[in-house]
Amino acid sequence: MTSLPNSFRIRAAEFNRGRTSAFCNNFAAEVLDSIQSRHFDMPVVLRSVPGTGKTSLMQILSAHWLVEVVRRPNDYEALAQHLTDIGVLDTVGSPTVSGALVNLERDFSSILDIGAPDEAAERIFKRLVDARVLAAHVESARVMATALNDVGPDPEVSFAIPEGRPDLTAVLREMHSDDDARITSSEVLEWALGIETVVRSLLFDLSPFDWDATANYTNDFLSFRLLESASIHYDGVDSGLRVVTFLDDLHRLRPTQRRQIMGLIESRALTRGVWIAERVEVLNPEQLLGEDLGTSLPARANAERGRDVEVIDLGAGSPAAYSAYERMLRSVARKRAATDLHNFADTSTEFLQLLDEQEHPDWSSVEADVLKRLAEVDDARFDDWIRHISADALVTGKSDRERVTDARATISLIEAEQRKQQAELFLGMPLAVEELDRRLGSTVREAAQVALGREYPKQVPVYYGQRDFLLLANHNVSQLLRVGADLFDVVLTGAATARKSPAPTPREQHRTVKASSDRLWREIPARLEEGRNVQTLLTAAGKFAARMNEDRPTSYAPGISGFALTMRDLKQLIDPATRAVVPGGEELLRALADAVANDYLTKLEDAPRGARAERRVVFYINRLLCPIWNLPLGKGGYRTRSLHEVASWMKNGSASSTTDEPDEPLDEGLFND
Amino acid sequence: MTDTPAAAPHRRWDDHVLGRSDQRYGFGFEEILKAAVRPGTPSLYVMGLGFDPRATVAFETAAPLLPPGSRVLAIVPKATSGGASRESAFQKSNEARAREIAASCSLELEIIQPNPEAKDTRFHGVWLVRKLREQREWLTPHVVVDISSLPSAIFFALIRAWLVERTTDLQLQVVAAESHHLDDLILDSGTLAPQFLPGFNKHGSLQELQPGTRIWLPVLGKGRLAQMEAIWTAFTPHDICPVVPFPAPDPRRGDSLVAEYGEFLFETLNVDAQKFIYADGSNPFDLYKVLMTISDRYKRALRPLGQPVIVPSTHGSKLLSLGVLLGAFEADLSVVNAGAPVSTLSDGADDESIRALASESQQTCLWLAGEPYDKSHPDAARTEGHADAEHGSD
Repeated sequence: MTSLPNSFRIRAAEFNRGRTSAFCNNFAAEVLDSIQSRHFDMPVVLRSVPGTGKTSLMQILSAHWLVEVVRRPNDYEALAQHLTDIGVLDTVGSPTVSGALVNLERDFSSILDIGAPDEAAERIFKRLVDARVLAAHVESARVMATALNDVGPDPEVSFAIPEGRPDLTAVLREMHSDDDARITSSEVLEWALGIETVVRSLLFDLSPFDWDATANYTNDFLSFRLLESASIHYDGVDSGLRVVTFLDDLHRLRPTQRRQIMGLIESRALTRGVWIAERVEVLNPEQLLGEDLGTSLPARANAERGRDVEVIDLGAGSPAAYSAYERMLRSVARKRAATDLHNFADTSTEFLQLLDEQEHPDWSSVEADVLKRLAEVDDARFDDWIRHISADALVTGKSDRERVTDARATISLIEAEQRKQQAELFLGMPLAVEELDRRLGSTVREAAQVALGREYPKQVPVYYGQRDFLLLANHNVSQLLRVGADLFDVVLTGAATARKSPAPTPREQHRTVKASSDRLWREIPARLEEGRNVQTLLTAAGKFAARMNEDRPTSYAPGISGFALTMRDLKQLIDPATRAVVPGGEELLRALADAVANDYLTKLEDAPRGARAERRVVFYINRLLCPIWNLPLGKGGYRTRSLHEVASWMKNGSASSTTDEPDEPLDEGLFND
Repeated sequence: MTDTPAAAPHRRWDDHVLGRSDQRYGFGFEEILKAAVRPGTPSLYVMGLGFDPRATVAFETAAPLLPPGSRVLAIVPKATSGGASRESAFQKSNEARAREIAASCSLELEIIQPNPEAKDTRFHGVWLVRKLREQREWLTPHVVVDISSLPSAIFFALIRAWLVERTTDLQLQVVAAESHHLDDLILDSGTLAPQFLPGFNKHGSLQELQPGTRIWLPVLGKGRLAQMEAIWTAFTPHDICPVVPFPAPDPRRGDSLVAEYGEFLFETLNVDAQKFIYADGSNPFDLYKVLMTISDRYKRALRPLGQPVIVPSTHGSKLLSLGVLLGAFEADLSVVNAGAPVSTLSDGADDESIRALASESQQTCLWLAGEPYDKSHPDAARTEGHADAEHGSD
């Protein structure tokens, strides 16, 4: 492998460390499509699975990074335009928002780990939130000053409150302000430092902690009360900036702490710009799996929306969002690769195009074998099909891969037809060539390609090309970077070895994808507390899908990559009383919730198919895990299983059911991309 | 990194005392332990009581050597569900065995349950230290900390607290039953957000370190890639010096760890192979000396750029973790940790073979504070001389 720098491997976190230009350069402006100007004046909840770019979105809107765009708009033209469109920059490119990013990961939940009495723990938690939020706003306001034309150098920054607000004056007093109407940035920082010192001593000093020192803390958030009404002043003049607080990683808080912040939104104590980012894992299994069920369980999103809150899912949460999300993924991949390709590969071809540049060179032995299998079909009804498809080698303009794939697909179609006619006791008439051409659609061809990969694993690459690369991202930026890093390594290796083209071969891509897939699988136990439970469920689901695809390659073309539960079964699983009587039900609920919360399974509700059809919830296997069981990536189908059968997977460790239902009608794929 | 100090300052454990059951370094395990016992004066024995099958191995050897009436504090590192899991069964069996041993040697056993409110076990140590400080045992003259089944967050805090606060009249010893085969059979699940360990945090937070030059010294152990990735992402070091155990009971241990982390270290982090640090896997004082030397050299080399931030992290064996503790204690380094919220026994071995491996563990006893380091004591010179002769100097 190469030791050249690989931009895909540089994590977003690394950009946090002062590399603002690199972050802005790589930021896909399309992410801002889901944001509107009004969102900066109201509470917003960003809730999604890990890796969908919540932190990056809040980061680009925060002062430190925003100022980089303001200073060099020509370097980030698309980004600057998007920021103008959503009102973060005005028409002359000046910022209108002062955003402070605060991460809630560190120290907050630990307050409850050291045996603090409940009341003291709550007071210290609130004070620490206040200290971090206000210190971040001071920093943001100072940075913003450098980007505003009408502010002089090194201005005095202060937060001013409206007249006639004794409640806010009391807040200023508690923060040791000398003034009844404002507090200076240095006063805020000094006060915040005092709080940090107390918390550090509580968490990290081994000496006894003086609880009395925190007894005078008021039991309320000071920062949010202040920011609801305060404005940023430079040298005593109102800046007019909208103040927005970005609270990242709320899921890291303990439930009681999280409730204290969410309670502010629910009670409408917060009405100005406060954004909260959290993973869906904060929802308990019942909420996570049952939010669509229409039961009495909390339907959080609706409840929150009803209280003047916007809940935004940055993932491709709906089919309508898929194409926009894919555009964004393309943009991320293109930007990440561009500089390295220019510097090291000496090519003007884009990374995504490089993935499609080469075709697998040698199909001859596989083609000979597949044609032989076709010739062995002893059924006169298909003679025209076999003649037609065998003649392709001589008369059509198809590529080698297309010819072999079509031949293999024809075998599957013949087998399916034979099975169907056998079941119907129908002797059948010869089938026309036109019928074959009609049936040889893209999904059947993909199923054939997967079958070839299974039957000739050393000769036929399956997972390659830019379509597959984007699908393997599973609508997740972090996963795109993971697969992209591995594939881009191959490109850089090609460049370093002075190959004619740095484009990776299909075989190289396939091998790389398989390795990435394997690594994601192996990492599950290290990433999740109950990772082995999740692996048990995924293994059973993967094997179940693989067996279905092998038995019926065209019935659900390109094949299934998930399973469904009926709403009735899901309700039974979620209800503690009915769950208790299902062997393996507890383990299944936890494994399903963990897998969905961490994006190893994608949960989607199937579109109702007729008034009397039962509603179902589908659980698709993350596409980067699909290669483990040789599952197709495109247009995922599924099969419905009973709750008892799926729960038995948790006990048996595999999908070994023998009670196969009759084939259902072809299910609609939910990934229509 | 090439200059050598003209005269190395005296370090606290330059002349150390270490005993092992195989007497590899000159002293035996029991010999060292017995030397610190004051007949008629009860000792304090602090041990972990988790599911690790090594929990009672060193205790079994040490208990008969302790004066009758000595106190044994057995700390349950993490609350168990009380269910029928394999780990619960091992934990119960360890508890029963500990009670049996204590009773047979007339020792007073107290089992300390973990803080029920705690989720992040890394704060158990600070909670426990504050709790212990209120008990009379805190002032016991002879303290033995058995780290065989204690998480690093607990024994780091305990040992540091005793070293800092009991500067006189304390014989502090640390014992461990060690088997890297068993280390490999204990699997971590999940990864906690990287954080400094209580007592070993002079910097506040990883994020606050960003302006300085950051050096990371991860002590490699099997199956800890996710933890290392999490630390790297949060810390973003400028330089990385991975520590591998060599020599080690398994001579290929270092090679297999480098192979396991090869892609991460070489492809992702671009670690220079010359930066690898080798430390004796059986002798924590070796890693201690290496950490002292390397931190001293980095500090001198990078002085023109300001004070570098040197942060070790522990992913390997208990003994190497102890080496990190000693080095970090004396060199005043912060120690970062991204431990797992849950650990389980591997399905790859049955109960019988796990118990067999535990019983074959090598037992080590380190004397960290007290007589051997007391310059006025008539035996001090003899002990130092022996340690030097056996181990040499750095």
